[in-house]
Amino acid sequence: MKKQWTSGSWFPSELISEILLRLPAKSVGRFRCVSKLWLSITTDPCFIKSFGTTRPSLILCSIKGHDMFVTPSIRSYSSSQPIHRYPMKVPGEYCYFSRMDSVHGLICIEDVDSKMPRVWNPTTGQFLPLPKPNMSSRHVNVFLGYDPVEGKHKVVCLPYKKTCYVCRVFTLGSGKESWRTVKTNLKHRCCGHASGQCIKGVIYYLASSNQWDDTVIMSFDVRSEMFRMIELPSGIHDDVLITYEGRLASIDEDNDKRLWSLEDADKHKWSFQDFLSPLHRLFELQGSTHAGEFIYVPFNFPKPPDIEVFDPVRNTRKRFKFEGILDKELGHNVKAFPNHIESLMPL
Amino acid sequence: MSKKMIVLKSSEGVSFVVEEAVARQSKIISFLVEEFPDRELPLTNMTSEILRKTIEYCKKHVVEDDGGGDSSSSSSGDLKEWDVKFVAEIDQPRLMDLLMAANYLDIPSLLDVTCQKVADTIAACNDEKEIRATFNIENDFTEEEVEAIRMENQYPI
Repeated sequence: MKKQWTSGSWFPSELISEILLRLPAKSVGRFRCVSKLWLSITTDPCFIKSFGTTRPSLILCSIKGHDMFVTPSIRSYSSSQPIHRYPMKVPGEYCYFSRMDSVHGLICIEDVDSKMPRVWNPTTGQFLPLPKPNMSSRHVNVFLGYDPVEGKHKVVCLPYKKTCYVCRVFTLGSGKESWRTVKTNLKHRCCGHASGQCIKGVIYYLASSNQWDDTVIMSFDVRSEMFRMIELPSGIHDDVLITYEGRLASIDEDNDKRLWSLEDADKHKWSFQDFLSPLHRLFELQGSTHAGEFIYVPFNFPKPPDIEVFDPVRNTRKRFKFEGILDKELGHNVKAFPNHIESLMPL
Repeated sequence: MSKKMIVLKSSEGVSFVVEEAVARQSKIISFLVEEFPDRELPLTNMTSEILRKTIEYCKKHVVEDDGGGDSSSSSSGDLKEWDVKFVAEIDQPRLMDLLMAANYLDIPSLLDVTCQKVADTIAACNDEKEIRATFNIENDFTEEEVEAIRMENQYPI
């Protein structure tokens, strides 16, 4: 397919797509009205699927009541970073982020009151309220996953601190507005407000395997919907899972300069690397960026927070504050999403 | 040992003698050199000016292998800076031609820098009218359609 672009020369639409993929999301939205060709290219599912994937960046968000605060994408660190009041309101009064990174551009928000999980696309400003998962348990953990093969997001809902044999799964964009019951086949108890990660189409979360409270990793393959139990090396009891260099990772309990990474889930094989400085800090580790920097956010701060960025390889540390919002306006919790991509996915 | 040279011919029939290693950054030329060794390669849809620019880029980006291990002619930071300057100096129509050449010859890194430069130009435009004027794109929407699309696609961040 060819289309005129400049006078006297013909320009293939694949190249227009290559160019538009390199625009910031906001520009893509603004310039969809340039021509019918541009509109069709930028709303094509393949374009939407690959958009943003080469540009992961850190964003930080905070919820206070119905208000939200969001930083622009942070790619280099100065001593202060702007944070803005988000133009949309959070639908519920008591909402919080689930303990995951953003997953292919989408973020999961849990609502204490309504118990309806919501999926948020920070780029487009859309909130998708999901129906109540109707679990027997009062409290639930909600994990968001993405299958890169089919380009589908799924939300998995598990009971909180209760032995479970089944979970509920919701597929986004399937046209079916309901949760399905999926057998876990492996008896386990999901930790309360458990940390999770989605890496290459697999959701990982912390759980206990039996009555002796052995901590294990549970994995859920987003595409096949199969669960698997992965044993942890004896050193890990930490409650934070991160993605480091593309692998699931956690800090050693006794040696906090040691980071364990999952090398082979089939063989339960983990490897470790030792860094020069402790990886545990006064702040909460909320993940690792694409460039391998660890992002630390203070626990419940009464004052405006300093965010710490630690490069364990270079052994360097930077801190930054927020600017643009009065201290008291910001909520008590700031959540870091170290590998956020801009997503054009309509919800 | 002298370096192997090949000859590339532009649409105007001008011949460019280039080191094979330089030209091989193009996957197409790399293929053609294997298939037709010792032949002049005619690039009938590339003007001398664009071919010269493409060769200039490839010369800068060639990774030299003199048997003593790989050594890039420049560090990656310097190269990035050089790339930015390289595309900044080219005017809009020629940039589009260079982008097409990078696509035709299959030189991924040149395609990336030229596409990025065009994307930056688009992002810097104030509105869709400026984009249409800059790139000579015909407006095939009505005013109402433009307004509707604009309303639907206002992103907050």
